[in-house]
Amino acid sequence: MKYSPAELSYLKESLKASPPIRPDARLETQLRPIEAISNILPTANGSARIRASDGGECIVGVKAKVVPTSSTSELINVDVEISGLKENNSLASTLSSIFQSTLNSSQSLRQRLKLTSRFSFKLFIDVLVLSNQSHPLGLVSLTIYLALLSTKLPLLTSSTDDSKAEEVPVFHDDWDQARPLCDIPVTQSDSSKKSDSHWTPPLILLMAVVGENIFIDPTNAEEQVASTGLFISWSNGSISAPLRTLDIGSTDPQGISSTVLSKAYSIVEQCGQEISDSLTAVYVQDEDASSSDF
Amino acid sequence: MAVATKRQSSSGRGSIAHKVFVRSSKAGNASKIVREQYLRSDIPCSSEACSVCIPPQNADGTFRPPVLAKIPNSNKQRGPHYVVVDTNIALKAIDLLEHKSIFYDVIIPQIVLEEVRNRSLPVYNRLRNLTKASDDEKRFYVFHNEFHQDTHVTRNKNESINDRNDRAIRQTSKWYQDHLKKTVDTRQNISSMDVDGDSSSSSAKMVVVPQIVLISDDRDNRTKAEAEGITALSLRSYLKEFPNGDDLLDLAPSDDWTATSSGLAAIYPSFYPMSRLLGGIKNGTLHQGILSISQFNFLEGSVRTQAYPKPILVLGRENLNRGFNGDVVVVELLPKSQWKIPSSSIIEEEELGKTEGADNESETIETDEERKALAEEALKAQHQQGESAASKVQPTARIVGIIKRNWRFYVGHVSAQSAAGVSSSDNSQKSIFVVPLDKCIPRIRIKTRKLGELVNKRIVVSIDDWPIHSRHPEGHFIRSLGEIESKEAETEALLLEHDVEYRPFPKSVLNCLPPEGHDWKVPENIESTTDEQLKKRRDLRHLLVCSIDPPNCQDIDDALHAHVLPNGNYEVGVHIADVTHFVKPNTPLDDEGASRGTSVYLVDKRIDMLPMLLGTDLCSLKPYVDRFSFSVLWEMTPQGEIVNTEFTKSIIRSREAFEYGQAQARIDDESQNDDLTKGMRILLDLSKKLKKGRMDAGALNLSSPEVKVNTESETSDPGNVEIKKLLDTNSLVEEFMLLANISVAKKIYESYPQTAMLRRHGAPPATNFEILNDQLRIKKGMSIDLESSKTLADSLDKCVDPEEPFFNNLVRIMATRCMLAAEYFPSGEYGYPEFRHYGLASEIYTHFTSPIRRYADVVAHRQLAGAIDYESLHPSHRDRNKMESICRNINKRHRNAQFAGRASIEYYVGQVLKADESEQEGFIIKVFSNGINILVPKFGVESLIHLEDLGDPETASYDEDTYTLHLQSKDDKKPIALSIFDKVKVYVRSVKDETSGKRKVHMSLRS
Repeated sequence: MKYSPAELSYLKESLKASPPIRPDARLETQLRPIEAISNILPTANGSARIRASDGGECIVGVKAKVVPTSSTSELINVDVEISGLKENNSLASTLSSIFQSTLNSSQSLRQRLKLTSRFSFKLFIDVLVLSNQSHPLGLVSLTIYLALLSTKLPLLTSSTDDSKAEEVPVFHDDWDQARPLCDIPVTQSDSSKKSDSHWTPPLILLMAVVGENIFIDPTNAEEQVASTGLFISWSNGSISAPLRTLDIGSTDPQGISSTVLSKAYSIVEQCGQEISDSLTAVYVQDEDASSSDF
Repeated sequence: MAVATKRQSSSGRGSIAHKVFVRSSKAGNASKIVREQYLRSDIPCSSEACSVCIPPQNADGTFRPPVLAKIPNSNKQRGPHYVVVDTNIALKAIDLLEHKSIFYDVIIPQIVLEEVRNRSLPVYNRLRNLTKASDDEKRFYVFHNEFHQDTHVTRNKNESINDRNDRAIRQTSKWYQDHLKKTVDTRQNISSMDVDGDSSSSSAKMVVVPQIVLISDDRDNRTKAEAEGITALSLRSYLKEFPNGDDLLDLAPSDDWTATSSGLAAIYPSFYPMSRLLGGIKNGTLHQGILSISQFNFLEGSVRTQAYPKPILVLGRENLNRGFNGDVVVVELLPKSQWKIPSSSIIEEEELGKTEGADNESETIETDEERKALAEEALKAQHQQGESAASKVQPTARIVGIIKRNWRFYVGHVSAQSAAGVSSSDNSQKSIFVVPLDKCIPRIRIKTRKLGELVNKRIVVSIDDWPIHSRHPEGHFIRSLGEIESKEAETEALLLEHDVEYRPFPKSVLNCLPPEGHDWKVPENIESTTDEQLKKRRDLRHLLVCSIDPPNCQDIDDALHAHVLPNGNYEVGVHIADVTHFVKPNTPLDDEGASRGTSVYLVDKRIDMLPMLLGTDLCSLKPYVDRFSFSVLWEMTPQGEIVNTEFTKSIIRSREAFEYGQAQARIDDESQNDDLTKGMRILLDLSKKLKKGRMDAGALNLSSPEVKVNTESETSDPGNVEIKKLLDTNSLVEEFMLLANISVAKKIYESYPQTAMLRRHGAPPATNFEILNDQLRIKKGMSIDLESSKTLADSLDKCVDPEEPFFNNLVRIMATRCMLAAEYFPSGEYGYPEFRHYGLASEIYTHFTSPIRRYADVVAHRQLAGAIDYESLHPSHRDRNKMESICRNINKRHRNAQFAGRASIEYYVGQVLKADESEQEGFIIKVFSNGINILVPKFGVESLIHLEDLGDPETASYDEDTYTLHLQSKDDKKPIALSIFDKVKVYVRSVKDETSGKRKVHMSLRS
């Protein structure tokens, strides 16, 4: 949407104020409402769909394939497609590479994908952004997160140690026996005790910088007046790499100061756990619903 | 019906079910599969007694009658009942299900059928045959429980798939039980009962609700069924309810083996898990191939694999590890210290009381790297072809897994030890050994109560299992063929052994024949016809066509003609019976022909591929009557060069049907100068030129000892044996058939480059000739040059021993055994250079000229008809996959037919010699360290002579380098040297071989 210079100036001034005033009256740490559902694609190993309140919509499907570990350096392949844009569009490929590198750098995810001493699962994450008003990074990240939560991998029945003699992996034929990629305690009772092996996928949160202020989940209007975009990743209860600036289509790009950076840290620390918990709750609810079907 | 489903789905009462499961692929991948199942409520129970279910409608609006009888099968202890069987019963007791005296009104749940299909295709086909509605005397009904709303069950959490399927079967039984209670109208009076009433029906005046009996040998399943209120019985207890139950018990699978022997120690090493087998095959440390057991040594098998030029040896019972001849097995190489030379001695199981030292106990744990190194060494060792004895050491292996069993029915007889001391009154159950006819098959243990009746009979047995703790495979009795050595039993035995379908043609097949029967005639007037296809036929009745065949030939496939054209060239025609006019694709007749694949010629009997009416009358190109044919017409120069080739469907009238001898006499008789004889002379002349051209191109003249058994026409008892004579007229016919086949092959390949039915003959690998060449070089200073078929033919011609006229023939016979077998294939399967027919030295070849007795020719006919635009080709002959499966089947049938024919001759030669012992010339064709194998050309038979019968076994020594066996004679200590190719005098007589119960030729040496 095009804004007049006067509108942009008004917007910028109110966002620069202390405390800042966002046009939709949100807090700096507040996301817009979303509508999320997991496991929407029956043939995929895991999937999710998220609709944002501004009409943005994203679908993610996760498929797993068995590969010899030695044959590939990257066990996770992310492919982002944005409806209406060409495949080689820079926005799509930027998003693909951000998620691919973030997910692949997770050592514990690699460990989870390992099957035997020779074989691993390779995940193919297909992202389809059906529509978007603001920058899709945040939306895509939430959907990938939810899809990975719902991902299940077939249960291996052959032996896991095949270093002596090569074996072709054989799996249990019952899909109900498949193990979840992330061990989320499904029932409410044991959600309190978190084991050390507990792992959740990384979340990447996009923020916009306006003056000395920073806002999570910027709207299209906020992006236009921002001096730059910044994203920080949150995984397993703490901030983790990467932390990067991102061009989010601002009309007046500028650098960022260290105060903004420390504000950004505190925003993510405040809301990171909240976001991941609420998405987990979505997944748990969906899972309960599907198992009570039968 | 469609409406009902729709309504159900709109009301949403679970009419769609999802099935989600994981499929592991061979490559090691796992994919999630989601299937949707539409459940319906209108699947009928198909019981005649049910007043509710609507039978399914056929396409033409008629209703299919219910399968299960109103007054079903009953026995003394149990009233009328329907039987439900579980998967294991269907798999193991299929012989009982087929039995005439038991198992009527059987419900096969769909899930059982599916499981059977996944586990064993042959059993599935038999079960399918039982359920086919055509002759419904057994009344088997497939109930589609998976698609019925009330019987569909979903898998519970942590439930194994077998448990789920068992639950589905129980659910089906339960549903039937409740359903019949509700729907059978018991007030209905039935008066027709006495008409078809078999047994206990006289007292009942009312319809009784049939009971449901679930038969399962799984105790756990039975307990659960009882708890759910279903009557469940084990197979044995069900059989015992019948008056002839004791007899039937013999037919039951040996289920209690495992129960009695759980404490036994394992004799054989256990197989590797599937995951390891697949992984090993993939990385090259394990090898997959078909196991073939040596004819001479049942403890020596060999596996031909992709990786090695020569087969890998598998020696000893332990290494063979329960492998059967023909099984697809996976082998692992043994350490180099255990590599062996292929044994040069004869070992037969019965003669061997116990296995010789199974000393391969050393179990070393090797890593893949070591195994890989071993694999490379093995390859090297095979490639080294030095002179030293060490290089004869071959890699050996042990079987670590069996991918596919080749189990079938085996014909055999009760072993002599088991038969000893039997009294016919003894009816207690005994374990006995059955010795199969096939020497490559180990003895089979069966349990029987009727030992007395089985002794001295040819019996058919089937194998159930070969548990790890049992030295011998375990099986059960199927049926008895009759007395050993009776002609009927022996003929049936050899047909069964070679898997030849010999039952009469079913009614559905006979229905495809022209309704006119023998009165069918070629239409008189083809000009005024409205039949499009008939218009395309060319009228060749004016041509002077004749056929030349062996004596007493009834199925005349081919006829010929030739005459001079005005330009001095010749017109030559080959006319082949137009079988495809009668055998249309996708009819029961065609299916039957395709599955039989070929006619089988036994000494006294012919097993036809097509019904008699076609083979010997309507298709057969009989003289003096009009017949449809498929003609190949050439214009040829007098030198035998083809100027023009033409193919057409035609009508011919054969002027005469000659035997080879008659034709020869007519050509030779100079007083005969009619046009027909002149035509035959042209043919003879041209055929000689064609043959010369072929021989120059390098066609092989190979030889196998072909003999003919003359039988007395009345009794068909064998009279005498003679070697087949070859006349010029034999090769006359042969040359033109070859020419026609080649011309047709070119044409159909041009039109159908992917699916043309062709025949190829691969060049023999040099390794096959290694031994023969070595023998020739050492003994005679000759060699066979394998450069090309031309050099092979030439070098074979040079293998002549001036003192021994038969020597050349002998070498040809032995060379033939080193060749590969020719095979049918769809043209897309190989590249053009691979099409070559090595033996005929032709670039491309097919079979076209004998459609009455070979199915390949039928396909070639259809393809040629398509190629010349006579009719469109049926899709199944245009589909590469379908063609591949057709070719696979006919290759197998063809081979089996040849084996069956040879076995029949062998049997009859044995019978002839029974009355006619004599001294004959023989040649040594194989030398072992403890015996020799001798071929007697006069009878075309070969036989082993053991060391003990040759001389003093103590003095024997075998010289491998010269293929010579040295020993001293028993009485006068004269030294004897027996070596390969030697001509010897043998005394030939026939004895009954006690081990196989087969009458065999027995030879003893005369010096």
